[in-house]
Amino acid sequence: MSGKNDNPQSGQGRPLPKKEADLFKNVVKFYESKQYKKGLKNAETILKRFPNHGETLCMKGLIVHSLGNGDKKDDAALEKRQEAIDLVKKGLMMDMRSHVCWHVYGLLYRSTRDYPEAIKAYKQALRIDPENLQILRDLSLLQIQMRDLVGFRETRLKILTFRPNSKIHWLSYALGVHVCGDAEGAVRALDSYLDTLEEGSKEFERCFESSELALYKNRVLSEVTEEGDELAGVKKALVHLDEVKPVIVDRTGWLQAKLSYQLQLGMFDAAKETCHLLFERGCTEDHRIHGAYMCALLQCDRDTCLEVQKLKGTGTLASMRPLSDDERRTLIAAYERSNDETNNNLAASFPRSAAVKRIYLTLLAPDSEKFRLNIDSYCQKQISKGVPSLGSDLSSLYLMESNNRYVLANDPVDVKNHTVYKLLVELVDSYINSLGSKNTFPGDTTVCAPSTLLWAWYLRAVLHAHAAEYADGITLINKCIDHTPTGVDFYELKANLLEAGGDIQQAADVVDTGRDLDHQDRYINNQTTKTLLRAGREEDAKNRISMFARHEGNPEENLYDMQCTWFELELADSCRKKGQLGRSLRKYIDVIKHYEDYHEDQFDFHAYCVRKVTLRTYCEMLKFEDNIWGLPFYGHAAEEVIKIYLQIMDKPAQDDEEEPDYSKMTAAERKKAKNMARKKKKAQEKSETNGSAKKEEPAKGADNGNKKKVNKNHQVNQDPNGAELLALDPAEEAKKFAAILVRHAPQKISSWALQYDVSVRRGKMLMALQALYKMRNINSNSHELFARIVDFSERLMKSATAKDNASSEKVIATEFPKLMGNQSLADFIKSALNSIKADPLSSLPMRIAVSKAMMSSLPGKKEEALSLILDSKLACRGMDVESCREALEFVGSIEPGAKEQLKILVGARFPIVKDL
Amino acid sequence: MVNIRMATVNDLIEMQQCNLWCLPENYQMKYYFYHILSWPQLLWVAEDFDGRIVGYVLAKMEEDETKPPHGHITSLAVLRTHRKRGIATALMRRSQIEMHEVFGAKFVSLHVRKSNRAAYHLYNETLKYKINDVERGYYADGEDAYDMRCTFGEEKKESEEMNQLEAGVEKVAVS
Repeated sequence: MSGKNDNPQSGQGRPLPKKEADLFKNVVKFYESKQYKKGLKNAETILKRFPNHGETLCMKGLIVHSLGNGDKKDDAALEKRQEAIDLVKKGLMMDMRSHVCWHVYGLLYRSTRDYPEAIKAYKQALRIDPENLQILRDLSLLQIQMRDLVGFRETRLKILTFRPNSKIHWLSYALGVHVCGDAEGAVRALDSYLDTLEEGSKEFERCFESSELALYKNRVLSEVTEEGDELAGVKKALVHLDEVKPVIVDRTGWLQAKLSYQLQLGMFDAAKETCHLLFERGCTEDHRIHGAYMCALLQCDRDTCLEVQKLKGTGTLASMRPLSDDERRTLIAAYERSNDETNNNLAASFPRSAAVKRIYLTLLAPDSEKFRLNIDSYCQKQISKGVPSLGSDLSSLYLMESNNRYVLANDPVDVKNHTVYKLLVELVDSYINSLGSKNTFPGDTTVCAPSTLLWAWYLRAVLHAHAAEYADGITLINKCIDHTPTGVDFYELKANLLEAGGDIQQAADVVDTGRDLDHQDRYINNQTTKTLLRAGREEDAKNRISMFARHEGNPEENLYDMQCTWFELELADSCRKKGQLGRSLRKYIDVIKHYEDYHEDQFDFHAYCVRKVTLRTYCEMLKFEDNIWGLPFYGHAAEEVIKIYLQIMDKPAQDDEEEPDYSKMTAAERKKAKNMARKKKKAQEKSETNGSAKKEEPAKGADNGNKKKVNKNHQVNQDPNGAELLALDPAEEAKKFAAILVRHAPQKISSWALQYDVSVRRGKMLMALQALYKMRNINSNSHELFARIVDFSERLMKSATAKDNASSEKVIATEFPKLMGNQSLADFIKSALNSIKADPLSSLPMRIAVSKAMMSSLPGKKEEALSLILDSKLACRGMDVESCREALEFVGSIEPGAKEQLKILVGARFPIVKDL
Repeated sequence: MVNIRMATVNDLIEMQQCNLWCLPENYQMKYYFYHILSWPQLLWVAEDFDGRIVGYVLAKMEEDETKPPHGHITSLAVLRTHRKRGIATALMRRSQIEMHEVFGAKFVSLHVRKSNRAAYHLYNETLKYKINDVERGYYADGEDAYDMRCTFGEEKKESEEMNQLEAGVEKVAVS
């Protein structure tokens, strides 16, 4: 509570007598030291004599609230919380002119995460006691939490003005200036702080805090720009680095900053030196530094350097864009093993670095003999070691050029045609032949271990998977399993092949067999859980994962507490497939809740990081938190939530517990869902007759299932079937999440597709049109876009009475036709049709979309629409089991005979597929 | 081939999921935040070619003032699919270098399940950790833990020490 709380009643016209005033001081003291019981006792003593004393009532409320304790949700805790709220409210009513009461009122709001209200209360308290440091501090925390950046800076300035001797206050103020975007001002503030220090101060010594502070200031300095000189700050920062060198303990960070500045300033020789220093410190496996090194060797411009620094994974300049012959030669000279002992050859300087060796492969021209020789020996080594991820590693060599940038081939059609892929297949086939017949690699005499052939088969199976040849892959992996039935990795790969090939049930059984071979390994356990969920076997899945999830009764509790997002998403997907919309919604919302918690987590670090001086990382955290709603798992959950609400809007009467809506499902899903419903019913009957005895494997690494104590008040047990969520206004909910996605994940085409879907249902045609334009900017060839343009056009024609106003109608009338190249709908569809005919590889999803459009808007074109799909012979792009199922469902809906024809094609392409 | 680099805040969510995929001991996100915002140099990740996190080390400094400064490995994991590539060793060595240099750690400690032979081998053989103690019933399921320690060569010349560590990092990279 109030830091300088000499007499909390002063100036209130209602002072407590000495004895009670002392007691009150104790209350505050005990609260602050978390001795709640003692605090409560003292408060009650005061209240016995002065039952209406506002500040004491508030303090009591605060203490009761703290006793109510955090996130617990049982009835007792809820009761306590209500009691606390009542006490504080009553206290405030008794003494509206007390800053203590307002402060406590604010704290209470803060604890329920109602920050705007808490800020109001603090501000009210500050009106009464403007110089109260504690309240100012609390206010500033909420301001930065709420990103009221200017407010934060102002509050920190006030605090600094009152207490200019504190390092914390100086740093907080500088931070405030920095987050407001004024790098120069922040540097000035930091300099002013450093000026307040005596010579020989501990702040100038070499230690973690001064090192962090120096590097923070350095980073801010590098952000300074001057008119006409974007790099003014970078230049200063480079000089500054040398000035602060004596206090730096974070040499890696220091060198990395230096490298970045040197590159941006085109100081390539110096940058090379810095790279070497970093490599010598053991950073040889860091591909960002290799990227920088290549930029320095090739003297790339600043934009390229910055682009390379932003690459992901093992990306470097060499995998970012095609190299000229000269460039290639220069880089090869640095990475090729040679006897050149000069400093410039990495292979000589770091002979054991895996990255140096592997990057060398990326540098070689894939059609060269050198590449062949090197990839050959690379594969042989890794196969001999039995590295399961070799195939995935090699797939990063499937580079395809597109607009002077490389993209990775991932469509099987492109993979199969890729030079590297063909070479790999040829090599591995030759290994298999040679190892099979004489246990050596081709042309070699060294006898290999028996496992070598196994890993060659394994790699070949992975290569089959890259080309979507799942049945062939399974033939090989079966050989591995026959040879070594205890190889867990083999079962995992086989399950992956089965799943991709369309037999999810067998996939689940196979990976479960693998799991049974290693009960200690959570990874394989999770794979099993995931596959079981995808197979719709929720009970089995829960049984498996509960072997590792600590819990009493319901594993979902522990998984929720541990924020096990992947599981919740898989479970939600699984429920959704079965048509259990409510349960599914609930699990997606659980994931959303985790992200809200992640966002909330930052609160405690606002003050903490200033004390620790980890300000660089802190600033990264602020950015991370601002962008958290654009992250993949959140996006997955939010997108599915929107889709479910859209589904409810389209068919409002759906009841979650009733039979699922089979009409919306594909044939396969329908069959599966019906099976599921049947099984569920059976299981229910069974468990009713058998009592509860369910003999499964005993839970291991976790509490046993014996004590089935379900905590009714746990978050996951609140509204588990999502009834409350189903009762919400679907249009509002869908709109809310779509708005979040387009704001935070605007680079994803799916965000705008959903924005479109929500907007048209709400009659917001202008917003829908905007979404179409955004989609076109992301990918003008997307089938999702095509389908929506057709949909928009059809809607315009159907609804003579537009729901928007006249001016928006005008905009639509002029802007929409551009999306169709100013053609009529019929011509727009026909040109799409023609471009598909012109390109036999046109993707299956696009074929389906155009075919659907023809059915809805080009009467009498049924045969042509069907041929669009059938004539592809399924040798086109975008071919996987899922898109085939979709094609089958669509074709079946218009021509059952054609469906049988297509089924044969699908069966030939994916021989193991089930449930067509 | 994987990319081994210092973790950033943006990696934490994937680190948490990687932990949940691999290990029975899990932590809430706030604990990851706490690590990176206290000892940003001690968290390292291994990224696959496409940027997916396939391994991580989460380490900290112990705040026990009665002992010389020392670090602790909170958690280390590598996806099963990415084993046999020296990733765990590389992550450990990188974190240890920073622990020693940035925070002046004299030694580093960790807990390992008694039954986990592979991990024990990594710590004992490859990384030269020694058993310091056995903690009975350390894990939630009742299993004992070895409390293991690795001392960063007492008062040897620092540069020599660094060389040794760096040589180790290279070693990891052997393929």
